[in-house]
Amino acid sequence: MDKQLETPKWLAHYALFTACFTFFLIIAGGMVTSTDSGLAVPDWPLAYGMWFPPMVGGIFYEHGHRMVAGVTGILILLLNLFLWKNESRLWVRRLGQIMLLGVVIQALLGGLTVILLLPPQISIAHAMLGQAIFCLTVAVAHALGKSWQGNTNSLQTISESVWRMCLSVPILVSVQLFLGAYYRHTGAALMPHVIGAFAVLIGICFQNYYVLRFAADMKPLLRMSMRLLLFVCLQIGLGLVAWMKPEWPSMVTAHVGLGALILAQSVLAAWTAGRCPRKTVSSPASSVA
Amino acid sequence: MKSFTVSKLMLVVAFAAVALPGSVFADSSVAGSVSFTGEAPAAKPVKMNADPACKSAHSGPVMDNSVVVNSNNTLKNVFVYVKEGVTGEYPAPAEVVKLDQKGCWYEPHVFGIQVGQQLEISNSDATLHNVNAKAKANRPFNIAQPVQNMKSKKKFSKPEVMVSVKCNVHPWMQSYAGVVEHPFFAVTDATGAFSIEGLPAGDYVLEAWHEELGTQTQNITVAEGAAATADFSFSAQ
Repeated sequence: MDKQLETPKWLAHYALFTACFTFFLIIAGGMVTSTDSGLAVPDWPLAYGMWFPPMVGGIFYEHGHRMVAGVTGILILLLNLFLWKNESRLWVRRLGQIMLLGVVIQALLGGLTVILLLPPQISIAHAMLGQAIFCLTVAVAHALGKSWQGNTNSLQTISESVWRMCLSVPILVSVQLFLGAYYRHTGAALMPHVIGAFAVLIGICFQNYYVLRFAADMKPLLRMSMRLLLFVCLQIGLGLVAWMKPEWPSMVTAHVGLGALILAQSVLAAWTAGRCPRKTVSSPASSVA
Repeated sequence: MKSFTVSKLMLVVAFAAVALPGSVFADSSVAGSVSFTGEAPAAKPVKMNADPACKSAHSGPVMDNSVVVNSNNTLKNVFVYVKEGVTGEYPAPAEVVKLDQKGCWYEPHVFGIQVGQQLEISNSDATLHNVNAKAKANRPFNIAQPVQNMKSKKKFSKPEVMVSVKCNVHPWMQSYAGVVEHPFFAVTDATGAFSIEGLPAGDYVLEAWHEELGTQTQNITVAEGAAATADFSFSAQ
């Protein structure tokens, strides 16, 4: 299906490191909102007219987030250069370029949130784009990593229904992330986010059911689906704690971080399912055993 | 000769009382207090560990001032103002309202200001602050005050009760501004009392606002040259 990989090992490791660092950026960004530090630095791109203001109080979170974002931007820029030199698959290089474009837009959105005093629309867009960029870094790391080759070798024919189920989960998770960001940045009612959480849980339960029933031998997909179920159960627990203890910024931020991991995992699962050859009939008898 | 001078003086006073529009002789006042019933919430110490400059500015613990119950069971920092009934125009006074950041603490915690009146925000601290006014009717602002003794001037163009003023560097710093179109407002003091002077005779709606305990209104009638009384009572939530 895919051309034999010639990606150097160090590049795969570098891409993985970039993905991990982007996750750290999401945590740093989450802490900014959780501690209400978004406006602790009123100017942008400088901070109180300086590059390095005293890292006290809310400045620690806001300027810290900017610094982590700056490093992430450099990492992604370098990743693009490395991909350009070392990666033969055009679509992987394209993913890197989209990621880089996303980072530029994300930086501008971050600046606008500061200059326009946190308008909810821009703050929500900033939060959502951050999640999307993280997914892209995970996707590139996955494409360059050993797991890609491993999955390629174990790809089996799956039914159309398994693929559709796997595809619906990241869509559900994205809607749920939007509802969470909307609640967080506008102070709107929590109920849509709660309903969304159960919709995601049901979606992931169905995904697990379909994978177990119709594609149980597709081990990478099974592992991803089960991991998703574990994550979403943990996430509901974390969400409950975050709701009961909003004064614990680390808990609320952990909820944001786990949300990002769920999205990334669901995208990888859908991608893996999407790479499998598909049958249109979906019954236990006709499915791949 | 002496009786002639006194009668002339009386004539001038009488003329002034009749002739001056909105004359001081016709104005009244309303005064009262804001009491608190129930168990007063225990004041919590504010943790200022996030900035050593803030911590070192205080020799003892600084207590949270969101609900301050005075020793006579009254409430401090209640903004009382005439919400309805004021007619006529009241130009903004030249007097500047001052909001200081001292010891990483806003002084005053609650204050009133007229539309168009100058607000001077100063930083008396040896650390930096941002001043984030989360206005809704007015234009919000977020300004940097990185240097000690720095001063910034702002005005509000529309009435708004209340405008939250916050420092996001030091999240415990919170102040509230009551922006009204007239000068008929007051903030309760350490005895829970307030007094609004110079109010023309008439019927008014008076509102008392507290940041945690909400708002209360009452109708009052102020007679010509008289001092009306209005007392409010908030209870523990």
